Amino acid sequence: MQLLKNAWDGWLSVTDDGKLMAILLAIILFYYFTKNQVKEHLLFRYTTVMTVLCILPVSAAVFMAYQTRFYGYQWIWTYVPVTAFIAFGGTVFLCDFWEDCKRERIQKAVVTAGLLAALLMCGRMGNAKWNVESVKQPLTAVENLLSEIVRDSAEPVCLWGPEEVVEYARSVRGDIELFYGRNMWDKSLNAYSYDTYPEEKEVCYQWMIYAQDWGGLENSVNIVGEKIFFNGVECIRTAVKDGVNVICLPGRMTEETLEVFESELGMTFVRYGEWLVWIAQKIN
Amino acid sequence: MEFLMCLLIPGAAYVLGKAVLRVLYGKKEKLTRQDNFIVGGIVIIGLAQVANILVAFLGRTLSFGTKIFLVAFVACTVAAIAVLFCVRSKDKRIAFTPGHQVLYIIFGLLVILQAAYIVAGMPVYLGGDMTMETVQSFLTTDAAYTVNPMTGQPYELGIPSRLKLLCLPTLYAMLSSAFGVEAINMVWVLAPVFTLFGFYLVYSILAQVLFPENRKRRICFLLLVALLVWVGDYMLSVDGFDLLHAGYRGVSIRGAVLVPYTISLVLRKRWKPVLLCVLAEACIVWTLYGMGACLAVAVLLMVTEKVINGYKRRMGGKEDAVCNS
Repeated sequence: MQLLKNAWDGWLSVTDDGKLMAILLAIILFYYFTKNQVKEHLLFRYTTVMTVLCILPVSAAVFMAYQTRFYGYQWIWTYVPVTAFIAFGGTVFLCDFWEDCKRERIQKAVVTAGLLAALLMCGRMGNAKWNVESVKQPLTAVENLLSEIVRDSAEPVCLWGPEEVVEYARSVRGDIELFYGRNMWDKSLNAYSYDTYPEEKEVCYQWMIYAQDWGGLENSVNIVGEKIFFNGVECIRTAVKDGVNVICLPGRMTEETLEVFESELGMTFVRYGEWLVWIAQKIN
Repeated sequence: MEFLMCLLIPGAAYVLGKAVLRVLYGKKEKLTRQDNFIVGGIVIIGLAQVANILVAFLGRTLSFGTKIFLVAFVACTVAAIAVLFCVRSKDKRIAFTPGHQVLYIIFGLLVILQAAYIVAGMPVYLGGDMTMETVQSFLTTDAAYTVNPMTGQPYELGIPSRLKLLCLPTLYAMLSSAFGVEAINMVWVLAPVFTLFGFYLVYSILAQVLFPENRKRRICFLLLVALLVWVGDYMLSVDGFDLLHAGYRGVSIRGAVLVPYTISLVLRKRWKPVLLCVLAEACIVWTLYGMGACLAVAVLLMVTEKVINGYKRRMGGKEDAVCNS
């Protein structure tokens, strides 16, 4: 039943994000109801059968089970040659239309331009709806800082910081260890490992999000009906106890919060670009 | 070194693919030059898989795996040249006939634009993927899966063996180490560009299969494919998005290269290379005990053809050839 539900939800999601499925269905229907050679081609028959099977929840659920539950619904569309068939149908239509002697050249040009414009409007032209990151814009300040610390440090650097900092650090430098990695917020990555994070780290992550948004010391948040209380001082203690020797905090931390860290933990954070950084004495 | 790699890998892939197809089909092979590149690419994946097993399962270092990979790569390329020398055949030289130049130029510009978009912007979709971190951890530790790629700290419970079998991170790490290419450029730039060119090679084969006698239709087909790559740039699993934002992933190589290539092989009734596609997919994507999309597509295409031909026979009609040519 869960697979069936996923199959139905998946179809809604696939058709929400873009219009290629609509173009595919339109071309299938066009050739199905008109007299032509495309209908006789194996590619047309295969695409038609597979499209129907991928849309129907029961057969879609079978495909999902076959591709292993590791993958979501959208991947069963790998079995359907969407790009190849749309290009095939479009080519036959446009070329037949241009070879039709009864039509004027201007009429052909206008129809072709209109169809191409309609096709282009079905997409997003390099402006993907899914979150794409341009990794060409590195967090220069963080990169320079990390290079310096790693160069001068005799022991491995273990870093804790906001999402973009830890994500970037681990992507560009394999020699930096993290308090927690990208799988803390991208849960799908947990499928790659049997390891899980203890609750204290989850709490620390929640505080880091709060610090990034508000720069404050303590607050609470409701997660799955449970109220989690977090305090910056406790979170930093947990992190240091766990081996963290470099902490990078968002630049918007309030002066009061930083003073608390200094008085209660004896930690002085130094501004580095848009970040506030603490480096343990032993590697400093 | 990056430039050398960009010349060496496709060049060796061409020779390897040509030799494998010569062995499979003898002198009378009727496959295209593009087939050589694709089959050669699959052979390189196979070599990487051997090195991956040594590193990930037998506990050898990445440097050792890289040496074995390079030795095997050179040995296979030399053997391929020897095979081609011994089993020579007269290549049909296909002369470039003029016509539709404007369409070819527009197509070329679209492909270059897409490659430039990948190289210049590095617009990567990171969701659900840890290839980059895995390659970095391999290079740092000179071993495979000894530390959790997400944190760089030792694993507590480990990772599933089926994941260790996937050879792409090892291949990227080996190429990065052998050619002195930064891992970030190897994974997020060069690999997606190779996948993009693989995609267009496969679609040019499909164009020849679908429109064997009509060059104008072939270039129209390729033009529409290039436009569809831009149009399909909206979600993972759609060719456009996979190619422009995740071309280094196994699922992207499968969806953009292996599956359409399998379709082209079945349409041409060339069954032996289908097995290579199935094996390559098992090496780069998590499949159901080796049964992945390539096998399913080949079987379902064959079943569709048999069912329809059987139906036509019963109705007293003429059977269809698989390919219109």
